[in-house]
Amino acid sequence: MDRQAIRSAGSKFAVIALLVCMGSALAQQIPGGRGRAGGPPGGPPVAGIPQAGGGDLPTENTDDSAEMRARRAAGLATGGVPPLPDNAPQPSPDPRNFEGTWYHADSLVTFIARDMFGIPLPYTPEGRKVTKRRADGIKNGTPYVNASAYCIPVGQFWQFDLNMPFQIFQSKDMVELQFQEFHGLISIALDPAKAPPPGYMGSSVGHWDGNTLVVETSGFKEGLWLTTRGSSMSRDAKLTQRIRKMTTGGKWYLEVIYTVDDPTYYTQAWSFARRYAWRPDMTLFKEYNCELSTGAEGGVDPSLVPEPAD
Amino acid sequence: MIMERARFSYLHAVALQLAVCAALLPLRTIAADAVNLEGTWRIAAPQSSFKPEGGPVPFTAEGRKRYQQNKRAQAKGDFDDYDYATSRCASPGLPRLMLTAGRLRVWQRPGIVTIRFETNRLFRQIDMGGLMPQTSGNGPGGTDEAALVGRAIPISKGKWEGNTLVVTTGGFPDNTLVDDLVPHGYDMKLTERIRLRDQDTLEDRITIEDPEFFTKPWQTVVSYKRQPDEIFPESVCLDRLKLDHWPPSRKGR
Amino acid sequence: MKKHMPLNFVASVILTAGWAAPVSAHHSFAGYDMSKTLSQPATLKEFRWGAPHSMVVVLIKGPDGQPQKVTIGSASPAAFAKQGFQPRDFKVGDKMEVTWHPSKSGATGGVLSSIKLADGRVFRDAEFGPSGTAVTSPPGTQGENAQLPAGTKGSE
Repeated sequence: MDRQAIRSAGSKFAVIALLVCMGSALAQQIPGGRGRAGGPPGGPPVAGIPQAGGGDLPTENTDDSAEMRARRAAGLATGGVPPLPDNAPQPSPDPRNFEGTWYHADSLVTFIARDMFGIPLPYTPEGRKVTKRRADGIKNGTPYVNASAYCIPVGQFWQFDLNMPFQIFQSKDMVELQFQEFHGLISIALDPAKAPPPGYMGSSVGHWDGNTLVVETSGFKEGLWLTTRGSSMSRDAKLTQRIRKMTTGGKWYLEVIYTVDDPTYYTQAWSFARRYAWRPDMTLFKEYNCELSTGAEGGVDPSLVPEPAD
Repeated sequence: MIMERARFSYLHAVALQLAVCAALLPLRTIAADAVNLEGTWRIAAPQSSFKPEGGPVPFTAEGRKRYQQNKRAQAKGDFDDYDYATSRCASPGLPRLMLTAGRLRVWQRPGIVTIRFETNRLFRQIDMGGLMPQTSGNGPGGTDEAALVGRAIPISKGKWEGNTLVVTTGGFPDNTLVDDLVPHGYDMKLTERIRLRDQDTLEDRITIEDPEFFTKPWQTVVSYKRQPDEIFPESVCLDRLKLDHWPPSRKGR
Repeated sequence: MKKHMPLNFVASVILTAGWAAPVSAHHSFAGYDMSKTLSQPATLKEFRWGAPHSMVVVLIKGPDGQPQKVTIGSASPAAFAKQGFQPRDFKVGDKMEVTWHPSKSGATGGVLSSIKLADGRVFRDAEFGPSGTAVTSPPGTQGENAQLPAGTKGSE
């Protein structure tokens, strides 16, 4: 990786660190309007500063367990796989060639309470209602049905994030992302005139911004569960993914910055960052013949609760 | 002088553009492979049953019995008795998927050929040898279990013989069909010879063997015509089944 | 009329092993009467292999004398292999003796105790079966981690 890119990454880190510090400082200073004279407890939301949690929603991002943090702290491999051997094949030197197999090796965030800058998500009342309903359902052991239970496409966040590999194929017209989980597929048109019709994964159009692939997706058939514990996005959302290939510590990653622009569930757009490790040792996929079960009579757990119509 | 410089920078821009475009093209592995099978294809003559060459399917007694059971169930519409691909949107498996009415797309990459099926986002992988050792990955349903139970679409092994990609596949379950009716068991083995008959015609010559169901191996040939490369619209088979409480936006669910 | 799944999954929100039945990492056995064992001659309709659990669908003679379909939860292929059984030992249409612990709710189905094949061999479910070590978790102890799909913890 060249020095310029390292410096750029370094300065990005510094900005993020600063914003996280600022964000948490601000959140502590102005919680729920308590600092405002005459306001009721909890008060009206302070303009421009979203309130963390509110009710029983988690106030911090939830990753899958304390064990994962302990593993990371101990320098052990995360994602349950050992590191690649030194002589593993490397990605293409072409920064715009993302082809190959990638895998979310970081711990799974099961609920997103704060964005990539540590700012609590800016829910609308509708967004808070739906998120809380879903999160409570999981917590109470009465989970709501969702796409994953049927093996219907689950949307970008979940599809990329669950620790299962995906593979990228590129041509001059399109990018295809093939996922092991749910035998998922995301197709990105590089020519906006050839955008595919809407689907559960929306309709995606991509363009290059330098060596970053900017993918804009809208036209979601249904709202999405972003995470396994109920973070949500409505079908009206526009999702942007900024994808770039980068290397750090001798390892290659795809960095994806997701921006959710969803006026139905959130008062302003917010962003979240992920990275996916280069894993050429996961190229041969396991089979995911989920419909053999979910398409069967009684194949989906009837204890899953149908969601009320919104 | 100025004109010269202008033209030079124009050429420079064009060259740069071409270089950028070239960078967007896939890794060219085709030099190492004999033939470039890449492209988008559609079956030339849609059919739901394979046409065996040189005579009818050579069933054993067990094979014929099961075939006739399947035909009776088909006539009654009892698809969930024998055809989970139809009744549940389960994977049709191989070789049945090669009869897909939807399009397919071939990607050739170092060590692996991938065939993507438009219908229901299914795909098959052909291991050409040369990939680094693979980890069994994550979660249950690992390779050990696949070895015990089989896969509707096992990972195939492929190699070039001249201009023909020879693909062998084994490790099947017993709950898929060869096509819409013909049964098979765990011991089925497929050998495919895939080649370009001409630039716009892809041909897959399939040899099917399973001593429990067929007295001898039998062959069939399927042809595909080249199509324009287009993104496949999202195809979700389950959308044609009436699922309880799905989709959320359906009124009165 | 709603058909009930025999296994009371606390969360099948997430599918795990793709070729297998939808399962959660943990599930409650509180929905089954482990003290009761039903036994019936049965015909195998479908063996849906999965990990950590499979589903065995059999036809038995119902209370009205008509064939009744019963779906019974059972073990992974590896667990069967440990006792010397392969998937091909269970063919659609095979006759067998099945014993199972029924669902408490009275719905058909349950969790497998044993299968006796026509050739006399017996599979005993190590989890739910006669020598099983099934831990009956009291309700409400499943906790949040039970909702995660196996494979996402990353600790395997």
